[in-house]
Amino acid sequence: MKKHLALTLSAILLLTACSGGAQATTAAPQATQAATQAATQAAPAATQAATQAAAPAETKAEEQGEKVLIVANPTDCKTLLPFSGGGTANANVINQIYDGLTIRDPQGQIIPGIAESWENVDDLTWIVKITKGIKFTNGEVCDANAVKFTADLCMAPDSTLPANRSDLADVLDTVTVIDDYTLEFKTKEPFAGFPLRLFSFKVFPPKYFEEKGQDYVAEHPIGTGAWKFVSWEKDNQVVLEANKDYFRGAPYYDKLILKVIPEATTRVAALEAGDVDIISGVPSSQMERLAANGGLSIISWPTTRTMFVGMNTINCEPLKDVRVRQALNYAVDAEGIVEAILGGNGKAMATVCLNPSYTGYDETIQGYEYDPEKAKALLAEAGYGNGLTLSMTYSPGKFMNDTEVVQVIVAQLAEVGVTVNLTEKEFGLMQTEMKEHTIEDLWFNGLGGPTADGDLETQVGWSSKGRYSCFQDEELDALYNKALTATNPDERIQLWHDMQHLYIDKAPGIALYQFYGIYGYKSSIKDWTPKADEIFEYYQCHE
Amino acid sequence: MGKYIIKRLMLSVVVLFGVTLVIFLLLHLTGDPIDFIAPPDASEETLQAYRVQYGLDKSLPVQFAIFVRDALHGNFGTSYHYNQPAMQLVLERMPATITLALVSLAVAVIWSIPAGSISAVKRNSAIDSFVRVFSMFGQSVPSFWMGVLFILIFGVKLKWFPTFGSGTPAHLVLPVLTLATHSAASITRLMRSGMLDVLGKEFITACRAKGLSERVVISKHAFKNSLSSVVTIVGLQLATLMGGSVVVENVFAYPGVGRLIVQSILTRDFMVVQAGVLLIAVGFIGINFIVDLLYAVINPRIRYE
Repeated sequence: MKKHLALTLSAILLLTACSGGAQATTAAPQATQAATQAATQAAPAATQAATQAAAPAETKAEEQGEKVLIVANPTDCKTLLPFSGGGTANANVINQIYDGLTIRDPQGQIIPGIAESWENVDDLTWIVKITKGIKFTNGEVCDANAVKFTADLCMAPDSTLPANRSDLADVLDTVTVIDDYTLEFKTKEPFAGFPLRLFSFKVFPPKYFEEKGQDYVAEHPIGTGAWKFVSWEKDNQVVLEANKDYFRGAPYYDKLILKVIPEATTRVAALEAGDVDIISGVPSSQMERLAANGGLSIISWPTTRTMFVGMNTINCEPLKDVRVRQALNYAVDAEGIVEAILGGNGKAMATVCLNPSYTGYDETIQGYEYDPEKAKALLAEAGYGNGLTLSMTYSPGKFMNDTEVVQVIVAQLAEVGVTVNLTEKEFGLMQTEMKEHTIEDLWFNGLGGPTADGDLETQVGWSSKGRYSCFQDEELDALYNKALTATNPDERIQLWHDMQHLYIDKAPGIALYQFYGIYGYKSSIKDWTPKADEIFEYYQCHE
Repeated sequence: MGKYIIKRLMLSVVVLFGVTLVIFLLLHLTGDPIDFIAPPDASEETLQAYRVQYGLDKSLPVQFAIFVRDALHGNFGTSYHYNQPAMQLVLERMPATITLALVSLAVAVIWSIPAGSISAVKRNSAIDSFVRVFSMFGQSVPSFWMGVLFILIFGVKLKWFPTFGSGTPAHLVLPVLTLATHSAASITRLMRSGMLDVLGKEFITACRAKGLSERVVISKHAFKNSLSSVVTIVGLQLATLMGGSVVVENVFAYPGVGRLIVQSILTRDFMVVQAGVLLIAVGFIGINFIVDLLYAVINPRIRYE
């Protein structure tokens, strides 16, 4: 019986393999296709092994006389093609090779990139002027035509750029070339955040792209950036060499190697051993010890990420009452957490988003001070004077110091009579549950990133149509839409101030702190600053 | 013998089919991969467009059938995140993992077989105690801790070896030592207990009575007969190591298959997970088959039909 089953199954599968799905006549070409595919799949594996063995020997020889900068980050990129999404991990590599129309400075403010200026002439129209004198590393000129070429690629209905829609096509209506260095962009709706969206608008070299096609360009990228692509060994390292004609200034180093070390302890050990020159993601517990090491410099830097405790106001009855939400804010001492747990590497926030790196942040707006008595009073007023039990979840290790911070929060909530049942969860599952509103009552999370702006964070985390939002409030939505479409800069800034006030009043979550990244590097390296959007630049630093 | 091989091949097909089905179902239970591909602010049309693009809008049975049909033609799908063929991504990492696995196992075996045998022969001596303590240590110490310790001592303090990465033989030393310690512990103990078992048998006394030298008794008779359990465990260890050791790969930033698969699970990159698991399953089946053949080689009385 077993033998017959095995025999039948094998026969069926064998027939499927030969049949090729549709007609019997296609069997032959499909068999050859399978063979070639298997061969091509084996070949890269073999070349990969060869390159891996050859590369270190090469680098050793070149290192003598060549200035090499080695950087270690926790994650690798997944692709070298712009307009592919993927957040900071991809951007950190892609942005070395390509430039965007706009760039963010170390504090997170938008500055000119390939675009030297952008003017909002009416609700939907922007006149963008291109910086003159920029060349791609293959010699092509980067002008309005290159920008138009890229825009067309992105907006084509059959575009296969993975994130073309969310990066650009969803907001842009038309792009017209006015002259060699001027373009007119028309958006579908008034969009105040347009200049920041241009950050993801990386420019392709038209002739090269047309000649070689998207797939080739994805593996052999050429851009206007400070670095030229040399090689990529997945999950291991990306090797780049300097673009001496870079329009913002030639790099000091001849080679930049971006390595991947997922484990924080190993990253720190590598820096101490001198195997790498710069690392990101230093645990705050290591800061003092490393700072005492004369050969190393340690620096902490604000990021665009804001940490908060999310609240499931959809499915948790008590949390639907704004007094309860406000009480939880009074109960948690954000400043104390920043001092004691983070060693001052963070900034207590009044709101759950819109941190100092965003347009319209107002330093003077006060949030909830630490006041457990007030918290208890509010809870009593809301009818929970005898205590309240809530569930909470988080993903240990996802963010630096998360376990310690969460434990303090649980303890401080207990002090005002709120019992918290804490669980641990895989972050992907948390995301899915956020989407379906089946997540615990409270959870620890942070929102931020390279293209995050006040408008994006609000839309994602706190608006009614946000995929991961567990908060639905018409007032917040209305104000957010108004701020998004306001074209007068002063009006816009005032609206974001109002937004901050509204966030505080509504208390959709427990406001915690702006996340600071901690970085370590060889003391001999000068003029390297981290960046608020965590997409680092290496063309200015030198020894 | 030929019939035996065919029978094994057919059974392998059944196993692989079963593995594919289980992995497919489990993955789809973990949630919607689109959440991890599409940016958080994507519109519903964009999400739907992604679903159509990756074939995720079809029903589960249809998706499975398409996967099996494509797999039989060598097409294991495209990674949602890398946008490259899933199997190619897995195969790219295999050489590194295979190197690590083979070298670790070789080091483990080179230690274990002599250590286990001597331990058994010189039972309760100082050497025996040392080997047994070492094995207990090797099996109890978490590889994460051992790896980090090696990095700190040999990488940072002594600067004898690189602290992370791959590429040169020097890069292999610390990861291999970490992995080999675990394997060696199990193999040593099995070697030792196997030998002790055989040494207690009557035919050994008979050999000695015949007048054979102790060396011949041990090497030709006791040793050969205790090999079968060792071969089993070595095979199992090799198969496990081929799947990549996630902990060691993470600690040493060693770009192997284990890390790729775990990362793909966390980012719901279904195709890569399926391709990786299938490849490991094939490896397991192959290694088990070789182990079974080796039994026949070691013990000529075993015959397959």
